[in-house]
Order: sequence, then structure tokens, then C-alpha cells
Amino acid sequence: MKILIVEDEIALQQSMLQYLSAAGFHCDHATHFREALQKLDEKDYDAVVLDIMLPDGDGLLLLKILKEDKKQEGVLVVSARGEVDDRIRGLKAGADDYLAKPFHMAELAARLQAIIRRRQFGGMQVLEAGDIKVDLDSREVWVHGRIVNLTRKEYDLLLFFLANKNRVISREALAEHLCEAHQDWFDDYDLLYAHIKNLKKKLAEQGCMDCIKSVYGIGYKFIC
Amino acid sequence: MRLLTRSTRIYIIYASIMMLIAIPIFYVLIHEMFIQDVDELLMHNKSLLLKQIQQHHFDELRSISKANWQTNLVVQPIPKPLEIPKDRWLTVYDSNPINQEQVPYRVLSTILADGDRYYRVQIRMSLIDSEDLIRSIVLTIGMLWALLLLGWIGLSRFQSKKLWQPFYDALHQLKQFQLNQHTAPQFATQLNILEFQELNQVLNLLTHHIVSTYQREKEFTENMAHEMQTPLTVMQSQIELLLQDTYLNQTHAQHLQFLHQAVRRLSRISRSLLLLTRIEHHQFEELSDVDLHEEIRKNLLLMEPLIEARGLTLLYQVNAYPRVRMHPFLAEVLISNLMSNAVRHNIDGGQISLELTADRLCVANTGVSQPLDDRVFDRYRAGTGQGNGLGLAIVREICRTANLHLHYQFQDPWHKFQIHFQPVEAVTQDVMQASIPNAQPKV
Repeated sequence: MKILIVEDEIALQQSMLQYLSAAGFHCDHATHFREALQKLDEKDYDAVVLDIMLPDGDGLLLLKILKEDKKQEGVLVVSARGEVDDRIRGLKAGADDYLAKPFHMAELAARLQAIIRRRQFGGMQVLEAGDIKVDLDSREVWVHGRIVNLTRKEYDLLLFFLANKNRVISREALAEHLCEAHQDWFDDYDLLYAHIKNLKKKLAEQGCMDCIKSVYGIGYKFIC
Repeated sequence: MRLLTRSTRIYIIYASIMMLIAIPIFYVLIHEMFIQDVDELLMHNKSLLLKQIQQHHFDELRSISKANWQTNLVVQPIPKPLEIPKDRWLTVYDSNPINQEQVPYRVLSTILADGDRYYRVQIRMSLIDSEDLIRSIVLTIGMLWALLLLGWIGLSRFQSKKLWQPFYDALHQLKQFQLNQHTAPQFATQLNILEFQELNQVLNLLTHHIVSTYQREKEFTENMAHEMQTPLTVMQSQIELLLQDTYLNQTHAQHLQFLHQAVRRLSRISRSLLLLTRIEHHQFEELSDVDLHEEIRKNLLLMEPLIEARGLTLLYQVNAYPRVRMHPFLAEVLISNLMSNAVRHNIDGGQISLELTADRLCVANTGVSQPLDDRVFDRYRAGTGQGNGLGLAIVREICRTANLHLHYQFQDPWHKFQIHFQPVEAVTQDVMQASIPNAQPKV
């Protein structure tokens, strides 16, 4: 999975590069509008992480150029502007997803994978990790050939773990992922604990090995 | 009291007092002058009489005088006085010979000598005509005075109104002035009156300054909120990368977690402040009819697991399905903030009660068993340190913008947040059937 990271803040660019590379993406990066344009011209990517506030040009313009060129890249817009109208503007301009800063690297990885999966028509729509098999079309989860009945939230959580395999995911990233748009709600992890407990229980019931490990009480790691 | 009324009133009072004092004085003065005049005339008559006495005998004179002056001359023989007294002036009332009315007379009483015979002579003159004259003179002058005064008041009012017009114009403009219109009113500075010209110049400066300050404050909050997000993302991503480190131990992890929470909090505060500022600056103007029940339902769907996780009991009672005219996003935030407030500040195993009627929404929760203070809706007044202390401030600001009446009440053990609103149209006919399934206690 080849992706291009367009971000002018070097520290953030490097963070994304490091995290996503470790998560199995092949990353390329661009700091400026022109550089990004050039790289997109030269190579094909599966997805682009695009900061729409670039010093030498509007990221939305880059998005427009991409769409006009009928490029196949999926675009994940990241922006410091997280208001509803900004999101709508980004999505209307043709972005596949919109992520407001500050976002978690785990969330970024999960969203990127979702975008890439959606664009792979006819490809393998089944994810496998250890004992677990996930059919993305039917949203079914199988363990040792047996179906596991998960709620929507539990399924989301599982996919989130699968997108960040063998990585420590902080409680904050998980809780925020669960709360979706209502991330402003809580520093409250009861909900998260409840969902993780249920998910682990349901997987274990079907004989799945314990793959979700707590890390010092500050996060979780999906091991496979 | 209006400025004009006030100044006119003072003048009227002053003029009335002056007239009350001046008219009697004026009357007395004219009267005195007239009496003096009459007295001179009587003296003149006396000297005429003296001349006649020197030429004629008095008895004769008496008969002449009777014919000429009739009742206006009274002659009375008296014995020779020790010394001749001075002339005396009197005002007496006597009956009028025609209609028996009491009539004032001015009398000159004197002693005249004809040889060795002495007479007391009283020359008198009727004052009846003069009294009438004085009265009409005073009346005329009084009327003239009153007319002058009235005219003067009218003129000054007219003039004042014209003079003060720029002031009233400026006042009207100030009343119309609203900060969120983002344009400062333009006060006219081409005026004839220097003071008003200066006033308007100062007002122009001041309002421009206010508008630009207001604008700057908004820009500051926006820039602040947006510019903070990238550095925060950098911090957060560094924390996440550190978490992957295999050399990480329990102590490190603890430090990282506190750091992470602080970053999250900072981000939330800036977002909430931005939202508050945007509401205050009326950036949510596209109104639509929001179905409150639908908003609550959507919110409950999201919050149910959370309510369950906290072991809370929720009771949702729907009596009507009101629609409220407001921005849909604000409605969403309003409901979400109220409900998360009810969850966050609840006690373990506590209750939440929601009640929706045609013109009221009540969100009540169990919690600490003492009322929150008056500043519950102020910024950063969160009691237990959870949340960012802006949730209820946002609720209040939304209510202000959407003309909803927000009210907090403590009825042990309930903390009640009530919102009264003006429904667009209350759907009442299907309440009976519809409320049955929804009135059931939910989880």
C-alpha cells in the first residue's frame, strides 16, 4: 500500500511517516504544494494524506487537480479546521475522508486502510489476523469457522485493532474512535472498558486466543 | 423626562412666578401713579377755588360751586381753629347717587378762610372710571405677557427640536447598533453645531474601535484554536510513537498518559472556546425547524451504551413532538451537552429523567445532594473537574441565540435543567397514540 503524505509541518510529517511505515504502509512525503503535485504526477499511490493548509497553495486546489486528472488515489484530508462546514467543504471537494487535527496516528492508519479497501474493487474483501477472519462486505466475523455475533461498536473496535496490529493503541485513541463525532464528551473510559470486555469475551467464547492485551493500563495491543 | 420638557418646564415655572409677583406690583404702581395724578388735579381745583374766593364772596361761591361741581364740593363753616391744619388726602367710599353703589372717591380736605370766617372744604373726585381703566390696562398687559411667553416657549421648543435633531439621530443609530453586524454605524459629521459634530466624531471612532476589537477577538480565538491543533497533533503523535517503544516501562507509561490527557484537554478547550465564540458571533444563522424528539432519540442511541456502562437508569417521557426554530447543529450540540452533563455529573447507579412537552424540555439527573451555585452556566465552573467546564456555558449561549429560556433548579435529589421554547407548531393530535410506546421507561 503506497501512500503520499503531504504535510508542511515536518515534525508531524515525520511522525506520520514513522507510524504508518511501521503499520505496513509504504510512505512517501511532500512538504510543498509543488512537490506534492510533482510526486503525484510521477508515481501512482493508493492514497494521499493531504493537509489542506499548505504554505504555498490551497490543499483543496490540489484535491481539485487530482479529481480533474481522474487520478485513482483516495484522499484523506487532514486539517486544523474541524468545524462542520469545513468538513463538508472538504468532502464536497472530493475527499474520501476528513480528519480534524489533533488526530491519533491509530485513527489515521484505520481511516487510510478503510479508504484503500473501499477503492480496491473486486479485491479480497476479507481480513485475516490470527484466528480471526473478517468479511468486510457482509460485516461478519469468524473464528475457527464459527461466526461471532458482534454489535456495531464491537465490530468497529475490532477493525480498529486490525488496522493497528501489534501496535500499542492508547485508551484515548480508542475512546475517541468509539465516540465518533462526539469526541468532546468524555474522559470517561467506562464505555471503552465495557466494549473491550464484551469483545474479548465473545472472541474467547469461540475459542480465539487472547489477542487483545492491556499495556500498563494506558492502552491496548492487538497481537497476532 | 425629556430634555426639552425639562427645560420648558423650568421656564414655565419661572415665568409663572414672575407673573404672579409682577402683576400685583404693576397694579399697585399704576394705581399709585393714578392717585398722584388725581391728587394733582384736586390741588389744581383747590387753587382755582382760592382764586375765586379772592374775587367773590364765599356764600356766592358756594352757590356757584353747587351749580358747577355739584356734589364734588362740600363746604362747611367751622369756628376759627387754633392753627390751620395742613391739607389732608383721603380715599373714601360713598354711595353713588344714581344706583346707590359704593364708589371710591379721592378727597382733598382743606380749611379755607374768607376774611374771618373759616370753612372746611372737601374737594372730591370719583375714582370709578380710573379703577376700570387700571384694571383693563393690567389685564391687557398681562395678556400680552402671557402671549409673549407662550410664543417664546413654542419658538424655543421648535428651535430646540431642530437643534437637538442630530442628537436624536445619533441616539437612534446607537440603539440600532448591533455588534454582530460587523459594520459600525456611520454618524453624520457634517453638522452646523460644533458640539454634535464632535460627539459624532467621537462616536464614530468609538464604534469603529469596538467593532474592530470584537472582530479581532473573534479572529484571535479562531486563529488560536486552529493554530493550536497542528502542534497538538505533533505532541500526540510523539506520545503514540513513544508508546510503541519496547523499552517503555510502567512509570514512563504513566507519564505519557498524563501528557496525553493534557493534550486532549487542551484540544477540547480550544474547540469549545471556538464554538462559543462562533455562537456569540452569530455564525449559525441558517435556521430550520428542528424536531427535538428526533434529536434526543439520535443522542440516546449514541449514549445508551455509556449510560449502561455507568449503571444509570434513564426515563424518557414524551408528551408532545414540538419543533423548534433553530440551527440544527446547535440543536444537536444543545441536546448532546445537556445529556452528557446529566451522565457526567451523575452518581453511580443514579437516574436520568428526560421530559419533553409541547413547550418545554426538562433534563434532570441525580447527583451531589446540594444545589449548584448561580454561576453554574459560567465558563470553567465545572464542579467535579471532569469535562472542560464549557459544556453548560455553550448550552446557555445556544439558548440565548435561539431565544430559548434556560432554567436550573435543584429538587433533592434532582438537578433539573429546563428549557422553555416557542414551538413552531405543536403536534398534539397524535400525541395520545404516539406517546404510549415512547413513554415507557427506557433502559
